[in-house]
Amino acid sequence: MTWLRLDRKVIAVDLVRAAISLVPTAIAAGVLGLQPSDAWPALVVAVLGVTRAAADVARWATTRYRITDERVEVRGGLFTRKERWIARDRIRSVGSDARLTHRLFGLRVVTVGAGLTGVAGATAALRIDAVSTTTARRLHELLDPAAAGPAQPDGELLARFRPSWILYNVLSIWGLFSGAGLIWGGYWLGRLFGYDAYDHARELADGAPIGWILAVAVLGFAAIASIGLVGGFVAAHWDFRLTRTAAGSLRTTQGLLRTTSVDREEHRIRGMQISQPQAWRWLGVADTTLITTGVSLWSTTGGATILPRGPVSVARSTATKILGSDVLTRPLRPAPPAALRRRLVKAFLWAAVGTTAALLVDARFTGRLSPADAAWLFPTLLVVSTAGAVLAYRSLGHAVHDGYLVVRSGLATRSTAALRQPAVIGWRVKQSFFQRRLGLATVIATTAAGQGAYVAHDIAAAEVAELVRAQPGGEQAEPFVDRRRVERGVPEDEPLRARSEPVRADTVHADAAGEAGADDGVLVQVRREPGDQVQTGRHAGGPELG
Amino acid sequence: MGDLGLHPPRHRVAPRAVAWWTLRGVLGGGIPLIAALVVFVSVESWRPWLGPVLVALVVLTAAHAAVVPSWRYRVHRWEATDDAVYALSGWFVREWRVAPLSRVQTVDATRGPLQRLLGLATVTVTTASASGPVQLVALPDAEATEVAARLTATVGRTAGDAT
Repeated sequence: MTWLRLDRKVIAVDLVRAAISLVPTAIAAGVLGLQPSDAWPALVVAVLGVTRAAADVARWATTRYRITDERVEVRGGLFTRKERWIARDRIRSVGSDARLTHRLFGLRVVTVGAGLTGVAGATAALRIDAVSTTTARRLHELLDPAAAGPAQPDGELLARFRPSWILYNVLSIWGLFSGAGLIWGGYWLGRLFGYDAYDHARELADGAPIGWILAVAVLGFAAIASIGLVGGFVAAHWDFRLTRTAAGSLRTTQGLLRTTSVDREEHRIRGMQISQPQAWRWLGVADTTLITTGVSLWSTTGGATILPRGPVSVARSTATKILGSDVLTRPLRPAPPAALRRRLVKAFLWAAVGTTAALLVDARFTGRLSPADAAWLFPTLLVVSTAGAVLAYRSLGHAVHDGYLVVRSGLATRSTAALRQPAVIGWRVKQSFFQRRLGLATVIATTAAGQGAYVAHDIAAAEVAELVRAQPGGEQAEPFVDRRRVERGVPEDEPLRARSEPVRADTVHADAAGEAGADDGVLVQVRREPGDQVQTGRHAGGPELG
Repeated sequence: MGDLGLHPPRHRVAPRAVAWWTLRGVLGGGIPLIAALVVFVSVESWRPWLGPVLVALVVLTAAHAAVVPSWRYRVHRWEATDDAVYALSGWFVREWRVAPLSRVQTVDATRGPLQRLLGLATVTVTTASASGPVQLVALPDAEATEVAARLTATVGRTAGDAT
């Protein structure tokens, strides 16, 4: 295929943008009659805008792209020549989006995503900015045949925007930041036209009680933040649709002024995660993400996020439709009470350390507290940390359902992740001295998708082997599990150190069962319960299938 | 009570690993110690509180160097079969790691300056997961080379796309 140019209408877009950037200067000079020294922000905007438009025209003139059988290549650049290529079998997602100016001219920016999560860092994205709507659709079909086809027909609609979701997105700490951004922007806009909001506020405050002023400021702040959040959410997610295309890919389309559409191939999906912020759990607020290979976890438009923040019921029903199984709605096995004990001890220690630190720091700097104040400080901290411990404990849970490993945990955010078992590419088991005393262990399933590791915190030590081996075929974890030693007896080239752990008895018991089971190659389930009671298949009346 | 039903890997690490861990611990603790000592000698007004800190540093470094290396040696074990690499490490917190060879991407053998001095090497086996590498720490030099070569050959023969 030959080298192709970007669409000519990009120049028109640049002209429009340059013209828009001149507007503030025109108003400042023509309407308000300001001197350049007063209107300098407008001049900065104008210079930046025109420069950027000119640079973009240069980019248009130098950029070429082509799609061969093996790869997609883009090259260009005026001063620095850049070439970038992506092998076509490494393409993980193809997306297209358009800003308002692009849409006016019928243009789309096509984004090609590839790369590994975690190992390689961020997803390498290749952007073709911009081509006509028809070319964009053609590229889409060419690069991602699985996702080809017009936006809606044939697709199974999995979820769509509901206005009630807006409520779920107003409740956020980010509101404060976007509120601050709005106020800052407003202040500078005011300065541009010679209005100083700060001075004005100081004049108004003159004589008024400071408490009222503060209250009004805080309320105004919160209101502005909420408006900012609602506006941002609606602009990004209006008319959100999640569809499964006929060719087996999940497509989201969304946006009020700027429409974004992202396709994710279903065969790369390894599982899903639903996260519920504890503070809003009573409202059922949930974030839904895909666990998938080749999509950066942090990219907000590119793929992992499959639903906007919304009610947990929608999250669960959508997850069931996507996974084809209701694993994320089924009950999990809770962590043993020892896990709660561990957290309560930690909470006690935190409270003690916190109290001591507070008293020491205070003694050094202000001296307002006396050791007697520990009488209220320590209980207060203890209540808080104990509440945290109980909350964290109640989050814990794990299960193996339907070929999925499901783990749940989290103090500030309760996250439930379901990971397809064949996607597990290794195991880590951690056990501290105290965990060993309490009969607990932490099991970490490593995977190439999503976060790279999914953790079952503080499960009963006796369940570890069972969980690790609950793999289809189980061959990955096999050398891990005690059966090896059962067959082999004792490690060969090492004299066994005197074992302090009471393992020996099992080895003997299980050995008999192991031989019985080994005849037909059946695995024997060796489970140890607290109190060293050995339960083998034989006890249960014959070898069980492992 | 806390037994996991996991068999310990077959091989211990090289006995010289104890020397390596001790050296590393002494150097790691010794550098801040020397820095603190220099300050103690030169800044007179800090002595009242720096004195106890110095004593604590000395005691901690000495205790760490005395206890941890041999503790580690008792815990650390490794095994490489035709199907998987398997390592047990840690001291206060023990960690078992297993990676099936069908999912392995790279095998490295590394030797730090201290390790070269003692004739030791560490074999690192990475998978497609960022949190999955299995490290066989402090093997005898020749054995590390042999294990790395054997693993690389086995990985080459094993089909799989490593994800």
